[in-house]
Parts: sequence; structure tokens; C-alpha cells
Amino acid sequence: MRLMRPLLAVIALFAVWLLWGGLYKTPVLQLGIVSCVLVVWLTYRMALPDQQEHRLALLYRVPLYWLWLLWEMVVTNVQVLRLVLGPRSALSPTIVEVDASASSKFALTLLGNSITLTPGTLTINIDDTRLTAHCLTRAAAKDLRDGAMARRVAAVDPD
Amino acid sequence: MNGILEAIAGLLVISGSLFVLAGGIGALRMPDFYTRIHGASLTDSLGPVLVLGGLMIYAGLSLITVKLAAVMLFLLVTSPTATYALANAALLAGLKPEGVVRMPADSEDGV
Amino acid sequence: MLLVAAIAILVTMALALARALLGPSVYDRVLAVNMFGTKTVLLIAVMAFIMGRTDFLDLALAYALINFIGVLAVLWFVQESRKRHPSGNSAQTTTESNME
Repeated sequence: MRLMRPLLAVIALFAVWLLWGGLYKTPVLQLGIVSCVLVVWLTYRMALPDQQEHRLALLYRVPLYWLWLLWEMVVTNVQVLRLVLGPRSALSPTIVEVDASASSKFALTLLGNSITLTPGTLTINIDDTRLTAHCLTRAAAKDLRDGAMARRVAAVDPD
Repeated sequence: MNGILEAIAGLLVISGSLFVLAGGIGALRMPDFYTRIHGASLTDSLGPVLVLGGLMIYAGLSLITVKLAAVMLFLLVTSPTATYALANAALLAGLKPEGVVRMPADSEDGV
Repeated sequence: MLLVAAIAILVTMALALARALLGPSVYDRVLAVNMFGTKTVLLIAVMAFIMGRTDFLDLALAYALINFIGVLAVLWFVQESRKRHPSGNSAQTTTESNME
């Protein structure tokens, strides 16, 4: 069963390859399969994917989280837009430490990237499960430390 | 109907490019490296979402929309990762943020 | 409409270039180059629609990925050269900006 996941990866890659290609002749298709196998082999050679079971629940939880994140992005983008065009005195750069409520690599990556993706907050260091973030204003730092985002990420991937 | 959709698409693309432009201005006029990243991240978050989203409405339901969605997904996954790598490299190299206040995780109301 | 967006993105790319030239640290320059790269992806996508050549989107996709790898490679290079030559060029520009 060790071959199950690489095999699934090759099939998924080949489906995407077919979607992109649009040229369906035998030698081209053979080349496509070879390149898909090569990519998966190179990836496994670089690093084995973590052995955590990937639950199907993530498939609908992550898109729901993205919807919330999109709304957060709209709010923070408008705030930072004002700061960028306004006077420098409105800035109050703050460094804040946030505890991630979840400890899986997936949850940490999701939280770190979400913090960076919302303008005004920026992950600058990850130490075990404690993230250090640079914030443009003290208010943004307070919001981040209150941990609404960390709680939502923990709800997506509770491990 | 078509006219309305096209107007919405145009509006999305224009507002997206305005966010991009503001981010460019921010990256130029913010005072230090870390605050400049915030300016630049303005061009990497809502800007691409609005521009590519508008183009998706222009394209309608087709393979082009799938490709635009793929471009958007790649940008939204890779740009924060690259930004984190950059900020972390600068921090480890000893580049200090200017004029910051530290707010620890466990203090009551900070500062 | 699309043309206005394309011009706005082009102006942003010019601003990013200005930041790349001004520096002052290597990291500012890498930030500017990264910004320039992601704006190129957007510009290609918008140009694909202006010119009616939607096959350009494949280029945008490839460019998004290459830009990411490129930025990581440059950062790795800066880090390695700092390790080997602690007083080298890249470190010097960083200390300069520290003293500001």
C-alpha cells in the first residue's frame, strides 16, 4: 500500500496535464505520463510527505475558511490602503507573538500564510508553535493576538 | 444581461489594479524594510484576486476560467510563502525593524 | 477598461523597479524583484484578454511558478554568500541600512 499515494499523485497530475495539453497523440501522451512519474519521483526524492492521514473533511473545511479569509482580506486591504496613502504618523509598527492553537505542519503553514496574506500583518518567524508577526499598527497586532484567526485555523485542522 | 456582467467584470479589474497601484506606492514610500513589505503585500492579496476574478467573469465558463483560477491559486499560495522566506531571511541576517513596540503573547492588554 | 488596468499594473512595475534601484538593503531589492515578477503575471493575464490570445495564460502560470523558485534561489544565494564572506558585498549593504 506504500505505492498507493504516489500512484494517486501521478493520476491526479496526469488529469491536470490532459486538461492543459489539448494535443492527444500517442507519443505526446507517453511523454506526459513519463513527466508525471518523473515529477512525483523527484518530489519523493526531495522529501517524503508527512505521514499524517489526510482527512476528507479538509476538502470542504479549507474552502469555507478561504471564504472567511477573503472577507478578512477585503477589510484589511482597505485599512492598509488608507495607511499607505495617508501620513506616516498613522503607523505604529508592533511585533506580536501568537500561539497557534494547532500544531500540525499543515495548520502552521495555513496560519502563517494567512497572516502574511492579510496586509498589515506579516509572519517573520515561526518557532515550534509560536509565530512572531510584524504589524503595521497596534490595533492590527491586538486583533491578531486575540487569536480569531488562530482559532479558525485550529477548527479547520484540529491536530 | 451581458452588458451588466461585463460592467461588473470591468469594475473588478479596475478596482483590483487600483489596489495593485496603491501597493506599488506603498512599497516606495514606507519608511523601513518591514513596513515596505506590508505595502508590497497589498499588491499580492486582494489585487490579483479582483483582477483575475474580473477576467474570469469576462471569460465565462470555460477552460480559460480554470486556468485563471489556477494562476490565482498559485499566486495566493506562493506569494505569502516567498514573502515569509524574505522577511525571515532578513530577520536572521540581523536587519532590525525600525521603531517597533513588542507585544508579548500573554500580557493583558499589551505594550 | 482592461487597458486602464494594464497601465496601472505597468506603473506599479515601474515603482517596483524604482524600489529595486533605491535599495538600500539586498532584501529591499529582492522584495522589489518579487513584486515585479508577480505583477508580470497579472500583466500577462490582462494582455491575454486585450489581445484576445488566451493561450498567453499558460505563460502566466509558468511565470508565477518560476518567479517563486527564482526568489527562493536568490535568497538562498544571499544567505550562502553571507556565510562565506561575512564582510562581503551583500552583508555590507545590510549593515548600511541598519545604521540609518
